[in-house]
Amino acid sequence: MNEARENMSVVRIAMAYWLLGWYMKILFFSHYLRNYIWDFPIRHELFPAFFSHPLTANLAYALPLFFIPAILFPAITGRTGLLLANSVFLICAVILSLHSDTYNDATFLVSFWVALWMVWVTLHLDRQDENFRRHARLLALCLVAMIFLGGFTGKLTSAYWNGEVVYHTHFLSSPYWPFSWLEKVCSAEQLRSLATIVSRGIILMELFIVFCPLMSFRYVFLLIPCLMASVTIFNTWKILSVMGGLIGMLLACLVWNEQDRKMKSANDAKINA
Amino acid sequence: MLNIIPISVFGKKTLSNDTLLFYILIGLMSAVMILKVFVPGVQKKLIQHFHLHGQSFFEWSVWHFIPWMYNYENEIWMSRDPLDVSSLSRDQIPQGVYHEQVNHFPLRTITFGWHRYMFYSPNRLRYIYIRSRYQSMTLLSHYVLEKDQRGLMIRFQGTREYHE
Repeated sequence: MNEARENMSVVRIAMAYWLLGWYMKILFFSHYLRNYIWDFPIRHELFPAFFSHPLTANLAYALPLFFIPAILFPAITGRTGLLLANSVFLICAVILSLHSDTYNDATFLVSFWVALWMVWVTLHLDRQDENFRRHARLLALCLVAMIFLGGFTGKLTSAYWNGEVVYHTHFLSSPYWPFSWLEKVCSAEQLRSLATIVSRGIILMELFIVFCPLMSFRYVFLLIPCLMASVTIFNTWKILSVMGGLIGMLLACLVWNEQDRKMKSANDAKINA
Repeated sequence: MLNIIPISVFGKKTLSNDTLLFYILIGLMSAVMILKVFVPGVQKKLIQHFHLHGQSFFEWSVWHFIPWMYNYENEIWMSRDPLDVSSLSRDQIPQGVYHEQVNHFPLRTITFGWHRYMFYSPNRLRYIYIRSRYQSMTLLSHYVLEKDQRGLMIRFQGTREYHE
């Protein structure tokens, strides 16, 4: 049952980071969802009533909080509690991904994919074979690669390659450091050139991450989270709402890396004995 | 769903049905994203998705789970009066017209933020034009913000497609 305990640790770590990402922008969402969308409703013809109603968005955003006990007290809630919690996370992510007031926030799209992985791992919680651990880690990497493939392919256009988009969305009149500082100390030409360099750097970094399923398990579960965390330098801390779940999913896989290392050491010791 | 089926993918290893399905799902999503780079039809479909076009909500929602962050060159213009679409430009913004470059889903400029109340004022910005460009494909969509008894409705007026 030691291996099942390791699996449970992985799921709990991933769930904790998922919740961290989900509630990273709670200061914004608590006001936006509780007040703004009620006081100033703006609808779009595409969305049906369920996915336009403010109550739907509020319930879906708040519901995951009530499943924190499944993470804190797994001995009591057991596998069923974890599966229920992750299923609720998944459903809430679907709802907010498709709601007219929140569809545009990538937090919920990424939360959906990470929750899907957490549900899958929970369904296999009792698996003790190396094959399961290998595919679990590979699937996590494939999900990260898929998400960054979306970003990479969407930037394969001249406006991103020449820095035009990044210049206007990040460098001009940005209230966030370091862009606000750069705008003060750099000339217009320097700023424009910097935007091109940063934009190309982002594209190449995303391309690098797309290949993470091919990288060694020994390094990739630390390397990619570090790269993702570094994106906050070129964005705001709010991007952690999107990256948090992905970072947590990869860091959780380190538990399996450690498990493999211990098993290999034990096997080597047996062979040498 | 949890039955082990004898599919050998990595040598002598086996995959459960749900694991295989998970890989297939990721593969399908990835294939669409790669096709986006080369196939104009897929580009148009995904940009239409960004402009909240869709034959139905169900169809739009299926496309929504394909990762879309920081895609395309997106812009939005908003004004109190109708604009001449042929003269929309980032460099020359007429007086009283609001323009913004947006990372994704340009219509979120109206909904996602603290400024919603501004669209409820009598002199509000009503005419909305969003333009997304990706490689040689450009899609320009026109919306109007209408007031009814339930609040404001973003109503689709038309779309134009350009190729460079």
